[in-house]
Amino acid sequence: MSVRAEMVALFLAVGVGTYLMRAVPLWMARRSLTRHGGQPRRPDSPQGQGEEALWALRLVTPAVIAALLVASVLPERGAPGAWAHLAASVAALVPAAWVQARWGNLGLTVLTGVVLYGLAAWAA
Amino acid sequence: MARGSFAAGVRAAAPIAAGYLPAAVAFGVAARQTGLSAAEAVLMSVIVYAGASQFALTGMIGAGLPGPAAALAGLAINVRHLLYGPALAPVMPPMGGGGLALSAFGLTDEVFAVASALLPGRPASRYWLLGLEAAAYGAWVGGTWLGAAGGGALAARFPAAAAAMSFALPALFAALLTPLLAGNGGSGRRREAAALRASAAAGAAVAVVSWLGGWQRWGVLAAGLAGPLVGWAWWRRPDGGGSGGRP
Repeated sequence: MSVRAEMVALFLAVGVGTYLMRAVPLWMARRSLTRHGGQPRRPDSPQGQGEEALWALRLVTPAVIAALLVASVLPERGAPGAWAHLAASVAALVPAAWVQARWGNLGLTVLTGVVLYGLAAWAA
Repeated sequence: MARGSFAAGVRAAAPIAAGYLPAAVAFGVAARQTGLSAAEAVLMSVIVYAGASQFALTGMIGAGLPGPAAALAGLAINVRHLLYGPALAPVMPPMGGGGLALSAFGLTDEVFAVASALLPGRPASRYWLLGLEAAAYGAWVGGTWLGAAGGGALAARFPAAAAAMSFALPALFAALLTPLLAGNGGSGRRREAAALRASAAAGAAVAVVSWLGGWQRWGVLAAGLAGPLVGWAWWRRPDGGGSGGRP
């Protein structure tokens, strides 16, 4: 049951950063609502413009997740069976994405991808 | 009243827990396969509690990415969480600073989705939200422990299953990416979806170029910078009408 100090530091850095990303906007929004008597803000108010800037931050998420997806699927260059791995990955990802679009269930999508990848890799 | 509200929140978390458990077990197995101990895998779930960045962190730890770069990439994935608090605040029940601080910790993608859908129709009670979050958190941490503690034995006994489980990471990323790319609603929504798709396409392209160039370690960070720029440019292009209307 070993725990390395550098891992704890990494987890704390990401954990605290993630917590602040959840807590600070929530706290600010609640404070703003309290000041305005619980009424929603006008879209052209400074806060509304701030929300637009926050929206722009959403563009980071698909870029990073798409890059992670590509990096996790691309094989090690020159490794034996690299193209079979890539073909099995694509064969599993397409139905998994369909399952997610159809049912929107994270666990079911992961399960679909894992099972189909296992079957495709076994058949290859 | 408090106990009843808390229990109702726990019951409302059942679909979240059903989704979290297999994903968390897969995370526990993947974490062990990348060299983390069972305690480290569970500790990551306890402290970070953000599925996508946890999977990404294990991948980057396995690839030997330096700690600060891994932390930055892990945080970049969670940037979307900035949006959840302001969106949920108007429908949240009254609570003090302590309750607010506690409820912020559990504000994951799925908790946000369920809370924002169910809170408007409920009598105001902070205990319902805390019950929802506690059950989701328990499922995630418990599932991680199951995968990390039992995953090694399963991998030794069923190597084919272990190889298949290694695909949980790409499958999770596909699951997270799919709804981001789905466009619906009016023209503003279509433009937003197009910008998100442009950002994702740019991120994927950067990852491929990094792979071709042999700089895989830096591909995710580069994608996190280049993708939003392309998405923003797409949203602001004149024929997209990006200067008008709420995104």
